[in-house]
Amino acid sequence: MIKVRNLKKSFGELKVLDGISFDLEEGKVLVVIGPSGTGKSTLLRCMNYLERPAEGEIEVDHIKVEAKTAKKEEIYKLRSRTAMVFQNYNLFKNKTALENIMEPMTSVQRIPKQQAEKKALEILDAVGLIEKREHYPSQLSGGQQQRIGIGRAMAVNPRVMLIDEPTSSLDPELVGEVLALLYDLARNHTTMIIATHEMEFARNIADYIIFIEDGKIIEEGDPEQFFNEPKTYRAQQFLKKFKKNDIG
Amino acid sequence: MDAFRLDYFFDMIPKIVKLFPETVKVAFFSLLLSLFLGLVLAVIRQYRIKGLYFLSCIYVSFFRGTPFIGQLFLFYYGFAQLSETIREMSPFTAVVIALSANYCAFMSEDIRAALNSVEKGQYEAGLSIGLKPLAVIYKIVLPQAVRTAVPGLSNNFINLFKSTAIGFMIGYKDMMAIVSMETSRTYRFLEGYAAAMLIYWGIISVLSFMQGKMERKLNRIY
Repeated sequence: MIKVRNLKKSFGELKVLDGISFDLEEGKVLVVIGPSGTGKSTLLRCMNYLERPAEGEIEVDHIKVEAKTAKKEEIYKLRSRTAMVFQNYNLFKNKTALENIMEPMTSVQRIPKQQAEKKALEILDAVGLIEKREHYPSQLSGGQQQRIGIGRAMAVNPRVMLIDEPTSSLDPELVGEVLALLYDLARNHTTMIIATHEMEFARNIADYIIFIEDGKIIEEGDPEQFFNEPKTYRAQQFLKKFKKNDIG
Repeated sequence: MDAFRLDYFFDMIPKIVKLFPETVKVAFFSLLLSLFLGLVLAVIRQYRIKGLYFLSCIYVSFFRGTPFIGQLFLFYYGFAQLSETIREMSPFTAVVIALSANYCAFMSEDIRAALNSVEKGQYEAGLSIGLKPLAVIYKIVLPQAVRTAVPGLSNNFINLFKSTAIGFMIGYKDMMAIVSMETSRTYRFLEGYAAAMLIYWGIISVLSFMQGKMERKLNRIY
């Protein structure tokens, strides 16, 4: 069980997260949607303390981290049980695709190199890029980099994957391959929290949706209900805009 | 006094070259020490490590803001008043310490700029897989920073190499010292210093050539 309780974060005067709480069962997919700049990324970044929340509690795999008292060791533990997929991939540029995936295993989990390489090759196979194993990130397309990014997150062997707008930096024709991989993960019961602007994808992959605006959860529920009959006015307006954009 | 005497000129060359190892020795140890100190300073300044950040700023400001020869004299003659250790220190050790103390300030700026050139996302990605901050710096950020740091560091090393010549002013016997000694005996200043400058010029040219090669190699990797 993943639990988030009353998460708060401000940048100066701006309240980016204003008391976010939710639960997520293992094996389920939570999708976070909402207008740009309303705290989706910050929420994910607070969940592994890349951004330190001002208040609130995060629990992953029985590791409870309370913002006001969080110690370094707790944060490292939390990070070893979560993995992040970044909007800009953030692959290690000085490492090959294979080395990127091996890094969490050799440097954090201390798995012997040979064993790590074997596992990394399996992951490369799963993300469909085994033939690119010796390539550096600069030699890969955006879609391929993001698939390696997902592979690296898999290598962490996390209890939950935090996936931050995985296709926002991609050319439209490269979006599909990344989404397909995420669908694969969902089918294999990977616990994921995904922030995205791809509504079709959100609807299909989510077990649960939360809609946030101005740092607050405005509406939440199962995807069918949320997309067919949103209860709040703001969610209705938001979804309407997307429908228009789809037609346009 | 006749004009340029070739025999004196050629006579000087082997005498100077004989002391080449002494100059290299100072340059080599100063390079190692200043690189290490420069790295420490750069990390303190880049990541604003509490308590040390302010001190490091003053340090860099002082060493960039005062002439090297003044720093050397202040250390070797000035501080000797206060410290038995410095009074008994060999000129070699003193030159290495003064050169390192000075050049690490400049090198830390190159290293810091290079650390800055590595995107923040690389650091975050390192943390996100569970690495500790120092491990991220060591495994991810530094290897990428090297490529950006090398041109500036090489220039500083070239300057450092030339600055070793000041060592003779506190009695270190290097290439420059032998010229000073010989010319004050023979009064053939023109031949002596011309020979010395050509030798320094030749060495620096070789170093510059190697610098270019290294930069090209580093850029090829990824």
